[in-house]
Amino acid sequence: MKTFESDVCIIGGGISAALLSQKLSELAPDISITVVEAGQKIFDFENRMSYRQRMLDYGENPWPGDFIEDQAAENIISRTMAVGGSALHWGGVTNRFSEEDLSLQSRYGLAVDWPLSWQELEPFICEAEARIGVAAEPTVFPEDQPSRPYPMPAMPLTHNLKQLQTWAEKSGIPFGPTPQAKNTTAYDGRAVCQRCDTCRICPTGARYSPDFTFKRLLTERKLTLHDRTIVRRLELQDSQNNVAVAQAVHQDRPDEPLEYRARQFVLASGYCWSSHLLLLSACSRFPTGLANSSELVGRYMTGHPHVLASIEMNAKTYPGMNRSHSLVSRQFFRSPSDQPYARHDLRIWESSSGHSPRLQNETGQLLLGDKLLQDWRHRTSRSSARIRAYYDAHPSRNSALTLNRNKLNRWGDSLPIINHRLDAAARSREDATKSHILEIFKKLAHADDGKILTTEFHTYFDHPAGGCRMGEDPATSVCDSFGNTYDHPNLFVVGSPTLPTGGCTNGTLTFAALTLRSAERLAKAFGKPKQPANLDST
Amino acid sequence: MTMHRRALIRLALWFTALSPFDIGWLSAEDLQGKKINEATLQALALTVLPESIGTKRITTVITGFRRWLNSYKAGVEMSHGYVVTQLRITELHPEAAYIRQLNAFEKAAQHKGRSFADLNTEERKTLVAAALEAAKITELPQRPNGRHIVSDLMSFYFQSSEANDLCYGAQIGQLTCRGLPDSESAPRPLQEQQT
Repeated sequence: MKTFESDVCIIGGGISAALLSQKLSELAPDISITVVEAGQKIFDFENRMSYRQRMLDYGENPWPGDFIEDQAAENIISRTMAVGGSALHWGGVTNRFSEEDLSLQSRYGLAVDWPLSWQELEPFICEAEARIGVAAEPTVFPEDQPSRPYPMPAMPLTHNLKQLQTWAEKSGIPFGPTPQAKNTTAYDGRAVCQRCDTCRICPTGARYSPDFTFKRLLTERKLTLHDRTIVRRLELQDSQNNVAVAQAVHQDRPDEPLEYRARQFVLASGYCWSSHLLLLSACSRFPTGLANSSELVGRYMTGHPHVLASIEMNAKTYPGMNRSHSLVSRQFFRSPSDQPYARHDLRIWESSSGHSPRLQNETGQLLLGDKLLQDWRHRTSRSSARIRAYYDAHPSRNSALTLNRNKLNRWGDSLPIINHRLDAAARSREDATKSHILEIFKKLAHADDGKILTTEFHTYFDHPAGGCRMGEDPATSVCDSFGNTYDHPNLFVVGSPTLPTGGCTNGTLTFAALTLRSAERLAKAFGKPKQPANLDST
Repeated sequence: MTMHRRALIRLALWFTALSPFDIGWLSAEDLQGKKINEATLQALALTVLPESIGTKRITTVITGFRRWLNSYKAGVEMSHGYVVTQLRITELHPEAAYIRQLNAFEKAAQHKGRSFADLNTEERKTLVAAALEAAKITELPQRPNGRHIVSDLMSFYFQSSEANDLCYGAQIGQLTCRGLPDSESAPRPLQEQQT
């Protein structure tokens, strides 16, 4: 059996692993770091423009080979398994959570409080913004002011978004540009956004992607990266509860088992595969899985449902200026104490809904040539917007990832199945929350002869997280606020799995911030940490 | 477009028999060496694309469509979505179906003793309507999807940045890499010669 040894073995190669490796290599430059990722490297940045074009022309995958055919979870939200993880095709939205997300129990008597305060977390949000490169501007709400300026000016509002902002603010709700991990100035060696409007495959490198961080760390020889390698089990030392070894297999050499030995192990495999590996690693001392004394591994799987609408109004927009950019309002991040609980974000995009070219008109008459063009032009006298609200809804203990004994991968390991469930309080207020959001949509539509064209209620949990929730009490959580598991002193879980609740807006920035905080604790295992890079000079 | 109902039904039935999903009437071997009938394609483009953009522009669109077709690759992995995460590959190369569909137009035109290109515009539109009805196509696809050369050619043009600009009379340039500075103002109007 081939054995690889390092000081830190990071399992998973997404955004959390990238930022953790980067910061660890600054705080403890003498340690050796190995990242083991199940998927492959897709580092051919030079081909991204052509991948993008073929995606547009033919619907081809712009990240070829970014999945493993027989490594899929039932109800998973994305099949991406590659170096860079889901953030490879991330839209780049970096909304912040708010103080309320961390104190739901003490403020509202709901769910649980996180085991850290906003004041403890916020500096790491600033750090994540600096490392990723966030373009944003402060909102009008004093509670949302960052303690450090955003690294770059916000993405400029297009003509379309300005029109929509004017329309939307007639409701009395303030909107501003959505914070994004896209360069509005040259930043960290990457180019300025060229408004290609295909952020899930940014051909210019203006949108942050973890592969940039990995490539740099590899060039600087600060880590070892083993891709296409699936970790199948974690095994403990004989006499202690420390993890001794990660058993793995390379996709191309299935008959040659590999083992990774390290002083510290970090699970950075996202909300699905982190819990999955812990459950797969059950042993005589931990018969229900590692880190699972509380029996909460794979529990409290979280995220947020959403309500979507399309609204038509009198405004002059030109669909296609920048569909990836949007307006956001944080007006509803705080639920007034004298009203039923409802917290949600509110986003607005330009849209061509109801204004696209069509083959038949309302009466079923076929439209060809100039008739089609005339019909299309006639319908552009009004504009439309896409509106979405992610709302805060809390998971029950039964919101779970479990092993599906009937579905195995090629190595015979059970694959995961995820079933999200709301807790009783969230279920009981579900109708009221939706009504509240619909009322806001109506309020928006009131201006400029607006009309709601469509409404959709999506119950799947977006920006999924949880499964290894952090907490102060080992009986009710898997790890502490640094991601250090209570059962295994040298095992950390970082990023999305540690969230007790999923907030009401995009989670990536928060996942990254928590990971950067974990890095500081992890580095202490190797002596006094050095100063991290001066991010102000980036 | 008005159409004699019985004629439409007859044509629809005939086209159903020659639907792109029924390749029994022409095997893959039969199609080997067969090429797209350029005259039929040209006539089809003149029927389904806006006459107002001019014949020269229509010819350029056809060239672009042929380039798209030549660069098509069957069996390539497609984008696996978010939430709906099914792994899919691109369909069979559409050229054989296109050849068959264009031949079907010629065959239908022969009933009138003429070629498809020699039919008048209304006659060609009638055949196009019947073909779409037989193929049960009622919506313009987001991009050509191989179901029928009519809807694919129309999608190729009408879903393009060029058509979007033409519709709005403005230089929007959707999905072209345009930089940020100009985005805050309304797009500039199209030049007169472009419209």
